[in-house]
Amino acid sequence: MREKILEINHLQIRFDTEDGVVKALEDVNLELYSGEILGLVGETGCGKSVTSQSVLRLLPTPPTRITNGSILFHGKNLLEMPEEKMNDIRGGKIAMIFQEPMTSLNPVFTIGEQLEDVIALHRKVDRKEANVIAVKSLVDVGLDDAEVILSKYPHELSGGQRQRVMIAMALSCQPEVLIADEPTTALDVSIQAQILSIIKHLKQDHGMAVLLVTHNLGVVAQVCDRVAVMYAGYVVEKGDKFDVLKTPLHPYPRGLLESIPRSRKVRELRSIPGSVPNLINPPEGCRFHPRCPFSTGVCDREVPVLEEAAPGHFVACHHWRRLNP
Amino acid sequence: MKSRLDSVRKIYGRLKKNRLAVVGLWIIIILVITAVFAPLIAPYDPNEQDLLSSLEGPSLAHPMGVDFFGRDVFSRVIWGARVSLTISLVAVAISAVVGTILGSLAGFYGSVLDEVIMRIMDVFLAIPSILLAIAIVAVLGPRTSNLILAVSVSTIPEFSRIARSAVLVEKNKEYIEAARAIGESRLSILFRYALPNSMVPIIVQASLRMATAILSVSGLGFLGLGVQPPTPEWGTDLSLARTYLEIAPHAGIFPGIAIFLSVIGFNFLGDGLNEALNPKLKDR
Repeated sequence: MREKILEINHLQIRFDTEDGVVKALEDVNLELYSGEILGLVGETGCGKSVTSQSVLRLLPTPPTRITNGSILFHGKNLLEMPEEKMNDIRGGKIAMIFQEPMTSLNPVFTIGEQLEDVIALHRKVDRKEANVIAVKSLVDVGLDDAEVILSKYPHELSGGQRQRVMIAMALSCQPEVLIADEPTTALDVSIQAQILSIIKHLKQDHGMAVLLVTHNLGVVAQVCDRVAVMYAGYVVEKGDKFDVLKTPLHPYPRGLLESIPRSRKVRELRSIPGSVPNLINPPEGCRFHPRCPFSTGVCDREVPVLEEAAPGHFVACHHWRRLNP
Repeated sequence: MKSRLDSVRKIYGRLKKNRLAVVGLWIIIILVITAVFAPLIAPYDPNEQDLLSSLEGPSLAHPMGVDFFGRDVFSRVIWGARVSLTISLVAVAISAVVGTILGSLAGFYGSVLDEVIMRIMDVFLAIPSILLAIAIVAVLGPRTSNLILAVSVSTIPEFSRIARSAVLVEKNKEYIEAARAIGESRLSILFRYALPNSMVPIIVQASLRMATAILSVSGLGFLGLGVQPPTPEWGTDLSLARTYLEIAPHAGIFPGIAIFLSVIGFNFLGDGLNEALNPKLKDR
């Protein structure tokens, strides 16, 4: 039986801005099992990054308000944890990799100083041991000249090297959960593939659970086990990768899949009309209904609930039965 | 370590392109050497009196002449470098450290703490710095320690404003968020991440403030509120020489030149450093 490591229940987040209250997350339910890679996909602004950052409580308060929900890590609610305990979990138990490897390292310290620092902080070892672990973790992510890298400053490394250093830093403390927020977006395609295969191998070797935030469905197909699709602050569909990508039940992921250009079949490239709604004044009912070709009267009144359509395959749509006979 | 030395060399390389900065640097180097080795360089004891040659003009025996009390001006200018530099350096060091800590705390934590610290700084900024220094020395008495206090208190607000704005810029960068994600505490993020990355404007400011501090110290000396006679100090000596300026201009001109050169030296270096340390030009 797979263990449920991380569980996000009914998470609701608001941002207070000058223009009004942004209803960033409305009702997000996710669970992450040990040893799996869960892909979190959706358009820009749908709440993927907010969800992933809220796990480590990285969102500044104010303006952020978490108005409802819980985030359980091994059954303990992270949202109610005192700050010092949270600092042990950050980096130690749950690690995070960011989108921009170029700017995620402290420019005034060498890679070695930063990496050994984190290791000494979380694994309670002295500098010498930390150095040994640092070298090993750099080799693990495919940086073979680890000693040289350790003595360099961030600006002396390439983007791919820096992202590997970030991954090495995240993994050096053997976290149980890795949150990767679009880890490959800023890199070239060839480096992307390498980074993804590193993440995949590390999952297999260490039994780590990974929450992979991305807007790239190709990445999901390549590395994920399960996938959750978000739209405007809701999880609209989640389930096994093959189920969701082969037979999407919700009109939104269907539209997303049809918007991928394919070289084999020559057909007109379709796109989803419109864009992600303004979250200060989101549409009533199902937030996708203004862009949905199948919407009916019920869609602009009632919020669809997430229901289990097939074992392990969840969808939040009033019409999934009608659309998928 | 090697790479740190490299970056010092790189910064010097960029500094070298600015001629004025090099001039400034050399003036300061000469000034520091003079101050450190004053007893070896000065031909006479700065307080030794030879009343028979009072107000004598420059000669081979006394290259800058003799003042009213029969003391060798050259020796007094050399010893004066020691007094001016020490007081200014200590004062700027204190105000840089205090101002940077206050300003970065204000910028980093924001909200109430920010308001409280910065409004207090605004009060200090509202009073002209030389007036503030005069007031402090007038109340506490003209002792060296009070002089240092006066000069540093009037410079703290400048440093805190600069540190605050630099930290505000750094605070929102992604590596700070990454540091939070690896479990660094807030204080450690401030002192190991935000602050080291905000040092450039503070270093530049320190060099420029040295110039102002030297000017303040001699200004206070000139007004009789600074270093007390017979200790050799440029401003104090200048004030004394003022009485006899018509018959013995050399007793005032040379301490004046010393003040002028050291102020300009630190200003040139500060401007040069500003360019050399500019992160936008870092990798060129």
